Amino acid sequence: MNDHFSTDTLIDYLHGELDPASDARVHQHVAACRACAAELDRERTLGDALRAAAGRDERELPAALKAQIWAAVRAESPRPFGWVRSLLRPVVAFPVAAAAAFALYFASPASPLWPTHAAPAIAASYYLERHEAQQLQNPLAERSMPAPTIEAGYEGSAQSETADLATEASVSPGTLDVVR
Amino acid sequence: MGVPRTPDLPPSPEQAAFLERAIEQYGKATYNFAYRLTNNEADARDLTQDAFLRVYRAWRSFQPGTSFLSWIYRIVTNLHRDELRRRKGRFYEEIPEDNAPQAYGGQRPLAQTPIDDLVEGQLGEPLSKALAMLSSEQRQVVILADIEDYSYQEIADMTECSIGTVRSRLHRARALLRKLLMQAQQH
Repeated sequence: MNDHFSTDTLIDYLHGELDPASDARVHQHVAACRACAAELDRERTLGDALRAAAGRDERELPAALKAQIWAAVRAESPRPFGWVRSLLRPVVAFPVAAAAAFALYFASPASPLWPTHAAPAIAASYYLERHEAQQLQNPLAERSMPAPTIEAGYEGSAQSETADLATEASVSPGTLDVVR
Repeated sequence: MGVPRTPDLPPSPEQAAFLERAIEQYGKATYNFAYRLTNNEADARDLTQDAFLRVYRAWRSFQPGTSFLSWIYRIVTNLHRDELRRRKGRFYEEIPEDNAPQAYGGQRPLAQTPIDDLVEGQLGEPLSKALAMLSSEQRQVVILADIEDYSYQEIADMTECSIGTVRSRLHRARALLRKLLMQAQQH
């Protein structure tokens, strides 16, 4: 047999990377060709040696490296309530505080924008007249008001007025509209 | 070296549990993969830390039922490539695709190689040195194909290159390893 397969092909065969037809041809050839079988064996030995060397040199994961990984993760992770802390940064806090101060000022009565309403002007006589009328209706008022001037001969009107008040006070329940 | 204290948990308990489990199950394999890639303990630590930080950030994108190790190995290879580019400031040339099985024309000499002469234990140190002399991409493919036993397609997915490129890199890497071992044997 004069034709041999290249070392590259044998490497691909060794790694199972040939298509089925090519794989079968190489398999058949190697079984009959000492040279290619020897070359294949050398490549196989190289692979075995590589794996053996890797196994001998294998290292455990250093404990300090574990700690480094977690330290890097912590440095990336946002801290609890970090959003609060982010608001306290000067670049954020100052504008926010200024805006809040402006809002409070303009919303307060001291603000020039606060609507001013003049107190309604009510004549003093209104209070006196109103109060006198209330006094007449309430005999138990603290301040004793002078009795209204009653014209002579009209005594009954005051009494009848008082009686009217008493009548009004003693209202029969039956006459009331009960709202249930 | 003391036992690290229990870390303060991040806001999501599920995310923390995911990371804890990932470190426990795949931390050693990831660290060893990173070490074989970089051949340097400090770089391997940084690479491993960055990889798990990526895992933490992207934990929701992992699809249950798929290989977590493939996922994190992909992260490691990407980080390693980015770091190399950052340090060296240049891009590596893509190796042309060469995926056709080729027949060897003529007789194959029954040449003796250092691999024939060395028993397994003797091959270890020169092999480790020879592996360190490969380029990063070549070393990456040899590790994934010969040590981690991934298929060419899986390696192509992890390293974001074509199957032909994976194949070519592996062929050249193995050829270089044989050559370096032969030189080491002669000295």
